[in-house]
Amino acid sequence: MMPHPPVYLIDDDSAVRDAVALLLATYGMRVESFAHPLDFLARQPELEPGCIVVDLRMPAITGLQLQQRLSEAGCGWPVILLTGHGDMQACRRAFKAGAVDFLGKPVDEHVLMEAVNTAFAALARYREQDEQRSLLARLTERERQVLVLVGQGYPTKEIAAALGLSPRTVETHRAHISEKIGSSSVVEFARLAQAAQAHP
Amino acid sequence: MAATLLAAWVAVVLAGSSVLYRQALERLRAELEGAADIAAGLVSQRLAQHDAHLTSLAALAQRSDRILVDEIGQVAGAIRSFYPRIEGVDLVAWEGDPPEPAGWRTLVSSHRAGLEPVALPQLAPVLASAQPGRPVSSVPRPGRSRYVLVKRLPSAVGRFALVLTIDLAELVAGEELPAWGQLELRLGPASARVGHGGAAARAERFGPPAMTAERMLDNAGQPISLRLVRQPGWSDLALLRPVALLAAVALVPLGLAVLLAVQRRRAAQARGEAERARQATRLSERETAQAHAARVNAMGEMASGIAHELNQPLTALLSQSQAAVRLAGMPATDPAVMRRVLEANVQQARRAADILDRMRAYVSARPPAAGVCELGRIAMDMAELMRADLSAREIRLELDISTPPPLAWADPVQVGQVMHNLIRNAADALAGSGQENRHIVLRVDEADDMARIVVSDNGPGVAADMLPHVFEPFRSDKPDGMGLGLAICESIVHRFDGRIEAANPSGGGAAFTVLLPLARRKEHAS
Repeated sequence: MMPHPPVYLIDDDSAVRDAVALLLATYGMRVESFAHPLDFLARQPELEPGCIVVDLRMPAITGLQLQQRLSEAGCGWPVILLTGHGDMQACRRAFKAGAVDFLGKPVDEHVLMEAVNTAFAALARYREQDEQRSLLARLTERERQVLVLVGQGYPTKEIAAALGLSPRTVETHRAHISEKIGSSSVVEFARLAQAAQAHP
Repeated sequence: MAATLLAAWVAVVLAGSSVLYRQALERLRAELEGAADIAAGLVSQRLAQHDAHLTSLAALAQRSDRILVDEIGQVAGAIRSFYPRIEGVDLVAWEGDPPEPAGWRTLVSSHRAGLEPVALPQLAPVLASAQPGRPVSSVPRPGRSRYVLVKRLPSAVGRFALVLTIDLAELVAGEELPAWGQLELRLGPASARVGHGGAAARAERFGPPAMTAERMLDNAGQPISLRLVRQPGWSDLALLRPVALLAAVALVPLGLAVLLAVQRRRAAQARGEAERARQATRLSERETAQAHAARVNAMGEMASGIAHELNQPLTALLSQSQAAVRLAGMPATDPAVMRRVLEANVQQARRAADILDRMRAYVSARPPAAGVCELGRIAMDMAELMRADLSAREIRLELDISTPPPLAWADPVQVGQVMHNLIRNAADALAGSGQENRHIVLRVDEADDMARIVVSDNGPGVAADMLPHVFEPFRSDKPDGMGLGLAICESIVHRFDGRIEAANPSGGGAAFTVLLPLARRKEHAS
């Protein structure tokens, strides 16, 4: 079984930070703790993708603002917000901004672990999409068009006719695509074609 | 009030009476003038008759070449009998110019019995000056009422003159005059008085002034002046009824004025009472609102901060305990790790208990009592209670406590409330601003022989137009504020003989300064 991604725990209260980190560790999680959200933001680009557990109320920036900054920076890592209050307004904003969960303090271990596991699944999805996006980003516009049509199962002749190209040119594009994505399998083409249509 | 109204009434009646009096006098004057005109008309008519008699007698005298003495005598007798005022009719002749006694003759003489015939000495001057055809009058004996009217006949006939002796007093009969009138007739030195029924009106001592109307009669030969005199009495003015009416009528508006004044006074009293009642209500409402807000602040706002504070140790406790349970089930667990976990739990449980202790101290419903107030400790407690709330709002709270910390004489819980409100107020001001690096400084020290608490921030400061009103209730410029926080602070500070001031320091932001009596001062005093 693949090791879990890390959990980044951000809370300015050392007692809470240590306790939650210990609890997560008993579940075999790799936990990295941060007392200050700005410390985390500074180090985030170099960190391994992981799940973020952050207190809503903190000095300097709140958990919500941290979440916003991450999404502004193009980081789609899942965020679990912890709060002492059932603050509905903050809760709604958190979900709108893509928070995975919003947990009230004190938090029960099962609730926390469920949220963390959900976050890991979200992270896995995100990473896959991220990978696809980076593969697609390597393709030219014409190659993307060819990829989509190949993925939909059209033969080369029909693709050539549809795009107003010679069948030979289409073959050349296919070869380039295979080279760039590291696969010539039609299944892989189809998966990427779906992703390309989902994120044009 | 009553005296004023009475005076007003008297003034109104007096003023009205004066007008009525003047009107009455004018009416009497008009009557008098009318009566004078009538009398003058009568007299003028009679004087003209005299002229006419002379003319007819003269005509008779000149009808033939000789003097018709007998005829003239008859006519003269007829005239005299018809007109009692004409006491004598004479036809005289004389010689020389001026007339000489030698040639004096009386050709015709008709006289009232007892009256002396006209004699030359009295007539000589008038005869000499008389022009033929123009009658002239003369008064033979001054002081009497008699005059003579002389008409000289044309000189062609010779030196003749017709002489009428007339009594002024008979020119107008008393009955012809109004009852109130007394007529004086004057011709040169002759004069006469005629009164109705002969009785002259007596002047009343404090009566209205006498009034007179004079007429100069337009008769060349008999230049008689008339003077009609009226001595009016009060009854003539007929003022009693109109004045009585006025007095009665004047009572109506005065009565109304009294009524209005009484009603107005009652209304003012009622208004005053209502206003006092309203003020009392407002005050008690304010007190109630303050008490309520104080409870909201203490129990709600503070408790909300406390709840968050409690959540921290509880979170730590729960997670740690659950971790311990899991660790206990793991065979390879190091007992030292378990020990650390449990020690951390004990610490967190104590932390929670401390927080509850503090909360209990601030929200317990004991009556406020002045006592020694450790401002330094209260400041630290408040900072601890509000820390989470402030940090969530990205506000740093700095404590600046002098050593030794000041001891004030006040109620510690209420002083805590003042600090809490001031810090919250500063936090609200900061939250609304786009200020970077937001911070609040809570300073506690001594100044001017008082214990001083200063809460300052680096926010936008208090709006200049709000500055004089910040401590007034319901004056909040926060959209969701009740505007009571600072009002409560002020009332608490005043309760303990302190002062509170708001200012925008030159360095920016706002600063609220609370000065409270020092505990050692109070102890010295007592």
